Amino acid sequence: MADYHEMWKSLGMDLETHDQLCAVLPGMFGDVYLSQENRPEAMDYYNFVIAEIHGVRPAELIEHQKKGGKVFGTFCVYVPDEIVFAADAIATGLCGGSQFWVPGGEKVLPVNTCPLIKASVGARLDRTCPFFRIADMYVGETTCDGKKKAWEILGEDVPTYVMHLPQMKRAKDIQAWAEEITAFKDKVEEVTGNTITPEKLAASIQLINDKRRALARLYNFRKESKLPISGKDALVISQIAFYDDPARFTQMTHKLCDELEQRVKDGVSVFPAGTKRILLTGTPLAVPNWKLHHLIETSGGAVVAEEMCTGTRYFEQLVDESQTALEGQIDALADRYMKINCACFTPNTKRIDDILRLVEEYHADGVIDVNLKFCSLYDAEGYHVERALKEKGIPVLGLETDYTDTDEGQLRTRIGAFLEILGG
Amino acid sequence: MGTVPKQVGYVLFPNHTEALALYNRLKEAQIRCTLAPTPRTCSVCCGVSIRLEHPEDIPTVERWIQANGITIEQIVVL
Repeated sequence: MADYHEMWKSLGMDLETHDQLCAVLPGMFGDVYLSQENRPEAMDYYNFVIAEIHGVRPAELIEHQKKGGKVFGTFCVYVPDEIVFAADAIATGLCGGSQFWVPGGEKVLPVNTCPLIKASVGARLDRTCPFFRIADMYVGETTCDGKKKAWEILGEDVPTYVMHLPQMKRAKDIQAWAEEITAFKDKVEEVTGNTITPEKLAASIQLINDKRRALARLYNFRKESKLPISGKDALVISQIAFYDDPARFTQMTHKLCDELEQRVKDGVSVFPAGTKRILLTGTPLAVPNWKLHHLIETSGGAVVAEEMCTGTRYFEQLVDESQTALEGQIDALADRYMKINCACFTPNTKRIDDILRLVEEYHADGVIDVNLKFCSLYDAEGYHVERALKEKGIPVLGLETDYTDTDEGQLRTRIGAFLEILGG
Repeated sequence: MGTVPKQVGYVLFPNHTEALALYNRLKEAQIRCTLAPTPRTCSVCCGVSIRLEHPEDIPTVERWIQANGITIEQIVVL
């Protein structure tokens, strides 16, 4: 077996505790993913990435650092990866999606903080995730109060830069975000010692747009009446998009899409006819949080899309590639990123427009509005989301959950009842 | 009465390069297999292995391993 213990040791990781994580992941992945019938063959690439998640990619990042490159760890879809890659650095996602890391976060954060924040802080402080050890700098943002305080705690342990995201979408807010991106560019240049030229930024805008195009192509197959891929397979691909080398990810996702194209021609579906189609909306599902997709898809439903940061918010809208000067490119970045509709904005009616549009595009029979426990922003916005859906006669179920498995029985009962209603 | 879980084979490797080399050969030979995280019962290390959907393919897989000079650690049936 590949032995990464020396690498983990050199990163200052707590090997004994990390070993407990290594013990559960293969079984969990096997139960959720390998138990599926008739998966696309090209999913093997993503199996490989998950199997080697604390091995191959961390080793690549370390190699990059040995050559003098820098690694920036990010937590949010508003942070423009384009800036990082334009400075010959690498951006990697850092969001924690496992209960394994939550107790570590609870040592320094209130228990009534959302599990995503607690897990992210715990992964760093407990020294049980290589990505958190490798990143030269963390890039936080002001998308919620819990995160803002988390950056202060993490900032005592690792260099942390915070981008201030405006929370309205007036012209002056978009301009303010452009200024934040400019300041971030200056910081990235300072940390890397590399200058971001218009040519380099143009190349990285294309690199990240290409990733978005690949994900959009993948999601288009989920609009088909015969679904050639399961929702949970699509979810793990979205999660991997935050970590993987962007060019390789794009290439492998197109390879999968070629196979899906053939499946559509051949009329292949991974679900029986009549399976109820569910759009998920709400808080992000960071890797390895596969809980809801697994519950839905083993209860007679199929997840056809996620209006989430680990979903359509990540890839919809491209950055304008026609700009050739830095100022225009940064304005183009600000325009694109401010089109993401997060519950931290007020008003945020465009998110509701997105949900209603996605229900149509993906032919969803119903919507599940999922909220990570203690995320008051998405929880509060649920009122308007669910009201808008009900007004349109679209069945909706609101769920609140966390990373534990203690509520699985209750969730399965509620999801099962909801799917039954859709079938009636 | 519960159903008896289907048996599968796992090929374990010293590194992922060997795993990918064998995987590509097995796919060419149309042997049903997937890349998968190595089950804990097989090894205490994280990493990738090849899961053989039909353990009866193991003798054929062993021939491929020999013929292509691929280094493996062991093959386990679970």
